[in-house]
Amino acid sequence: MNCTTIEDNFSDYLEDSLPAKLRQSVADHLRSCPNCQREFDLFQQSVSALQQLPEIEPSAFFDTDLQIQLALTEMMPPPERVPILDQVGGKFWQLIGSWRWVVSTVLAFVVIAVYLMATRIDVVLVSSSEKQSNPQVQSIEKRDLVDEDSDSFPFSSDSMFDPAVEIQQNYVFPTVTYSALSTGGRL
Amino acid sequence: MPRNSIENEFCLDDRLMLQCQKGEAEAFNQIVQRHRTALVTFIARLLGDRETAEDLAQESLLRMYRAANRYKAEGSTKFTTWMYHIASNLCKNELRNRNRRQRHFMVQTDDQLRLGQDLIATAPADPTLQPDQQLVKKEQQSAVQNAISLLPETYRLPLVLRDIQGLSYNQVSATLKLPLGTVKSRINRARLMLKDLLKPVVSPTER
Repeated sequence: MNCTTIEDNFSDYLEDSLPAKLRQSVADHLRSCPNCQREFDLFQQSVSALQQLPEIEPSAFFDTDLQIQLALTEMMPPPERVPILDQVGGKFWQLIGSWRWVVSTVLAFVVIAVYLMATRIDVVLVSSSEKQSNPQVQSIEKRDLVDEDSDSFPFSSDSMFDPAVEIQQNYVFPTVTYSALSTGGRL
Repeated sequence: MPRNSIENEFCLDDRLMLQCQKGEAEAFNQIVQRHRTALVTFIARLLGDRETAEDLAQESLLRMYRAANRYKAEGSTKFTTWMYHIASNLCKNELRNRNRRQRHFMVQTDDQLRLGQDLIATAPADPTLQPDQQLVKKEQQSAVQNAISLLPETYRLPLVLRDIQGLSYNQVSATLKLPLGTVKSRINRARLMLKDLLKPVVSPTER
């Protein structure tokens, strides 16, 4: 028994509910350690002060108020609690009786499955129709899917930002034809 | 109190509850008379507020009256634990609401401490003590009440049930629906906290 563990046994020691050997060990430590003895005395005094707090008598109006509230309770009994499924489903839930939890769980799974399938189909439909109508979408998707390290990636990060690397740019000019009519006879 | 007498007391509560289930209003009045002071004391010591304590004690008794038909008499300590369980739940709600209000409206701790003053002011004076001794005793009671109010809820509840209401560890365990070991360690911890809080007030030399 030491000074840090003795406090854990204060209540049991005070109430004499420790096993004989442990009780003896606590008593021996308290005799040999004045600090712990002082702490135990304080502990005992605090518990005693708590137990000596007087009872609190209810006020003179306590009974009258309670009788009024009891009378009101008699007049207006609390509404009977109806399970939420009975309120919502009515006869349907009564028919399936005790299986309603099973049925409702299965229904919940079905709804979730239908939702997931619908959203997946929607995604597939949208992507395939977009690819058909706009081939650029397909090329963008392909480009996005290409691994960064791959040689087929259109821009390598080195050539983009290294000033020593010459960037070749090809400009395509639109072909314009001039006629005497469009230039007012000057050409 | 002798053991047989305590068991008779518990059986009397069960008998009264059975009569109450049969619709005898007088039986419930007897239950109210038997337990109203204990209930008000428990809640007031826990919350440090007499007015709220009376309201919650009435609410506890009303809930007991409404739930009387569901009560199953099992003898021993069932009635007491049932009664304190209902009151404890109401107190927990009240403490939670107070904490929420405190967070929202920044209520000072001094206000909380002041709540306990009316309990001390209205406490009956001990006729065996001299006026100056009475003053010292009231100051000590005030300090103890303030110290209780400073304990966290998880420690305060088992401490009040054990040391003020005089319930056994088993009854506290059944009331709070906590394992016996947890209850014992919480009560010891609460008493240690109380000892530290009351150090300036309680002198170890006065034995």
